Formats: sequence, C-alpha cells, structure tokens
Amino acid sequence: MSALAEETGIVDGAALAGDRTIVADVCVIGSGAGGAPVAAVLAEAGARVVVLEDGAHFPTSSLTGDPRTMLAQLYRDGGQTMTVGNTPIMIPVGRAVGGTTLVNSGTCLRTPASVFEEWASDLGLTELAPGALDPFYDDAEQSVSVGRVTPELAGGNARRIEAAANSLGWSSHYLTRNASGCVGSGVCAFGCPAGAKQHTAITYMARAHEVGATTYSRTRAKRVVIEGGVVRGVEATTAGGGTLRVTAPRVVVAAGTFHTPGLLHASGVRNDWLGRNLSVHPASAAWAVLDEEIDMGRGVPQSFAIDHFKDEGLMMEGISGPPAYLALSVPYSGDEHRELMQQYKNIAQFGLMIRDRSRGRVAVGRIARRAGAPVIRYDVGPEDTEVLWRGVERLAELLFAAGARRVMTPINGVRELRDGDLSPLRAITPHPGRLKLMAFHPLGTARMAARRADGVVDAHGQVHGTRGLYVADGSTVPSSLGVNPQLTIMALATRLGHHLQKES
Amino acid sequence: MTYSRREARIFACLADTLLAPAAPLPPVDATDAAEVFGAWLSRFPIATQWGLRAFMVAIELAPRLSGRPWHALPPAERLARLDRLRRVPNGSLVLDALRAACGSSYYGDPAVAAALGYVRPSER
Repeated sequence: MSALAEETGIVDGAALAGDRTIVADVCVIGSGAGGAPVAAVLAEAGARVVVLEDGAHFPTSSLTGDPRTMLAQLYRDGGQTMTVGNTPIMIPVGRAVGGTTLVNSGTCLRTPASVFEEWASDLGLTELAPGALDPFYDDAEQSVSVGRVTPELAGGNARRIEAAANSLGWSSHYLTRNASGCVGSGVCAFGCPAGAKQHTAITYMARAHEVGATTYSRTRAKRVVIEGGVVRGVEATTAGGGTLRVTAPRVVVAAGTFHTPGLLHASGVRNDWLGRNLSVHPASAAWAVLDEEIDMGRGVPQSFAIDHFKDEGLMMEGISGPPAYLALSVPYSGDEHRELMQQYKNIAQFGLMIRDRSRGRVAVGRIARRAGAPVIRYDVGPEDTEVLWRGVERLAELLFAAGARRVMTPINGVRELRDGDLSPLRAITPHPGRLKLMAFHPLGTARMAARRADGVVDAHGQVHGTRGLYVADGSTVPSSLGVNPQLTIMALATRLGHHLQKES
Repeated sequence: MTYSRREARIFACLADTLLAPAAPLPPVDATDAAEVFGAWLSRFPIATQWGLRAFMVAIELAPRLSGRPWHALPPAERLARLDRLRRVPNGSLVLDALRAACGSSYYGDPAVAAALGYVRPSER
C-alpha cells in the first residue's frame, strides 16, 4: 500500500502504471450512494474490501463552490451528460470518490409505501413490502446525519416560497437532508466548501477506510470476470496507464444507472431488461423578478418542498445558487439577458419534478462501444408532458403569489408571463419539444425483480443467474419513486451489505 | 485537441454578443471567462466538444461569404445572425447551450459576481 493509502485509504490510479493483481473478499465498483454503504458494512464486518472508483478524490479543502471549475472537475462529462429523444434532457451526474452524493442537493426522503406495494404486486418483490426497508432507512439516516432544514438556514428564496404556498393553501414542508454544521453556503451542487454535506466520501467511505478498505481512485473497471456463471474478480485500468486485476469471489457493481448496464454487458451478462426501463424524474424550473430582495445565493438551495400535488405525480422543490448557476438556465440574449442578470438579488427560482411514466433506455453492446460512452434515449410521453405543463402553470401561479412582477418559464414560445396572467401558457398545446428539461435521478436500467424474466437482479441485488455478482445503485430501483432517491439507494445498499455479511 | 487562441477569441465574442455586458459589469475580455470555458470544454463528451467547436468556427466564418467575419459585425447584427439559427433544427438547443456556457463562464468571474452583489462563501 502506498503512503497515500496508509493515510487516507485511497490510492490514486494516476500513480499506478504496469500490471498488478490484488486479492480481496469483495470488490465494489463505485463509491456513491450504492457502493459506499456496501463497502462500509462489509469492511466493518472484517471483510477485505477493495473499491474501484472512476473519479478522483476531492478532499473538502479542494472544494471551492465555484460552479465553473467544479462542474468541470466533479461531474462526469463536465456536467453535460444528455439524452437523445423528443426533447433533450441534461442529466448531470458526479464522477468522484463519493459519486453523485458529492454534488447533489442532499435531499433525503423515504420512498412512499405505495411504491413498495407496486413493486410487490408487479415484480414479486414481497421482501420489500412497506416497512421492510425501515431498519435500513434508519441506519442510512444515522450514517449521513439526516435532519430537517431550519427556516433560518433555508434562505430568502425558500422563505418567500413558503409564504406563497401558505397563501395558496398548498401543503409544503422544509426538507430533510444529509448535512451537519451547514452554514448555508448555497453551493451544494458544486461541492460543499464547508464540509457540511455528509456525502459518502466523508461518511461511509471514511468508515470503510478506517477499518482497512482500500479505494483505487481514477481506476476504471473494464469488466467483471465471470467463469461458468461464477464471479472471479474484476479487470480495471488506471489513469496512470496500468492494469489492475482484483481477484474476489464477490463483486458489487455500483457504477450508476448509466454505466452499470454497459459494464454488466461487457462482462457477459445478458438479460432483456439490461439498459431498459430508465426513469429520470424529468424536472424544470421557473424564475421570477420580485420587488423584495431574495439573495438566492445564500441559504440551502434545496431546502423547501411543496407536496400538495404528489398524487398527480408532481413535486415542487427549491433550487437556487450563485450568479454563475443562474446564468446556466435563464432565458434571453443580449441586453435583455444582462438586464435580467443585474436583478440577481431580486430573482426567485423554484423547481418541479414529476414521477414519470415514460421509460427510456441506455444502449449496451455495439452502439455503446462505438460511441465510447453510454447512449441514453428517453422520450417524454404525452401523459408526462401534460403533468409537466400543469406543473409549470402551478410554478407560475406560485411565483405570482410570492409577489412576482415577471415570471420566466422553461417553455419555448412562452418566455415570460406578467401580472399573474397564465393565459399564454394555456394558449399553447403541450408538446415535449417546447419544454426545457433537466433530470437528476436516473433509475431502473438493471431493475430488481423476483424473476429473471422481469428484471436483471433479485430482491437482494444479485444478478439473476450469476453467483457472486451484485448491483447496488440506482439502476436496480425498479420504478420512478416520486421522491429524491439517494436515501433509498443507500438503504437498499445497506441491506445488501448485511445480506452479504450473513452469507459469508 | 487543445482549445486554441482563435477559439477563445470567438468564444469571448459570443459571450459579448449573447450577454451584452455593460457598466458596471466588466467587458468579457477583462474576465477569465474564455480561459475557464476552455478548461470546462475539455471535459465535455467528445461529440459535444467537436459539435460546439465546429459551430463556433462556422458562426465566425459564414458571414465572410458576404465580406466580413462575424466578429467584425456590429453587435446587433451579430445577435440577429445568431437568432436566425433558431430556425434550423436543433438551432435553439445549441444556442441555449452556448449561452449557458457563456453565462456561467462570465458570471462566475469573481469581479462580475461581486458586481451583482454576490458574496462568495469564503468571503462571508
């Protein structure tokens, strides 16, 4: 082990050239919300755990919160991961020790019981009946210090929206998230410079390293070695041009919803559901200019939610950030753009996401190999388009209730609404191509199901038909949740960790 | 492929056109926007990198057919020519992406952000 690993448990793959082989009890591929809990549980149980992470390690001292540089460093593809389909959707995902948990907003919510009931009835996942995951939710919430945001810390954007939601009689609440010692820096999505966000690199991974696990950062798994339906280990390449072979009887793939299907396919796993069933929680936002100062750059960006329309599959959640963040999304060009940006301190913003019924896919096999990266296809269906359109109307209604003079929408052809008049939105036939969308919760491309004919992995995450091969990331989550998924991924991964511990 | 000085100049002109900075905001050339964008661009997917680079060069060269390069046109005409691209398939998508890149690169400059009243976390 190198000096760096002795100190932190992390070996930088950029420093590794040549070929080497190491032996472990478990090899985990990925250190985000899925991989990290498995690594921690098993390492603490005494297993020799090796983690392979494609991204680099970023200690808190290296996190500046500057959107421009952090997007380039902490996100895969500089944050430009995009779908093809009837409207392109940007889906930024993290690439670092800690995975996307390093750059997400930190919201931690439990999946509603109705979703688990669907999984039980549709996919035979009776082991995940409502309540079954509760002990693992408890464990995850404790591990990453989940607590509710206070109004004081939430910032002006959230407080204004809260008043507006109350005036409309809409049910709402401050969100629960994984933070400890938060000072409201307002840059969660660009790496918390205060070290307050309890992402997996400083929680689960630190625990795993403490008891001897080793993470190889900047090391990319190329394939899982499977012989006769039994796992033998993993082959990986390092950023230093070397080859790393990990011999292990158990491999846990947690490379994320976009990369796990390709890795499984490259390893010889064949299943009709591999790469299919992609849900993303399509999301959008609207902006408003108010007379009062909001100062959206201060406070927790995602601190408040409106759940009044959850039965329609619509959730509204706050988003905000510094000027460089706002400038990523506001409309207009030329003088109009500058005039809007100069009102930065008076701009409020709020977002929405839907529990999508549409399903996309991540290409595996020849198409993906030729592209050199996952090719993600996702078309927004008519029902989802209707819900999104309705959501934008409600966002505008909310922002006018907050005191907006002008509301800018994410709909091409309806750039701006004034004086509470929503009729321009209603005058246009909803069409996905008019919507500017993003998404943050890709799920389902190696879905969990009791039978191989219905999914890629079983109720614990073991790949159907392959002994010793498991998946623990968003790809196993069988359907759109309607809530931010990181806590559910952590809970499922914790459950898998304990299952493997018992098995061994 | 390295981000060239020529591409940096085109990007700065794009930012100047799409964002139209005026006092009290500093001009694009007085910020680190073009340099920062170069580093960011190098992390984009290869296809996106090449697409954006080709698009920038095409924007610059196309008006030459009628005499002057795009950067030498008056700002209003530069913007009008960009807006015309919205009529072609995916033109709006590419322009919105460029504007987002310009906007984030420019408004992330500490002096620009400060001019809007933003106080960075490290300075609070």
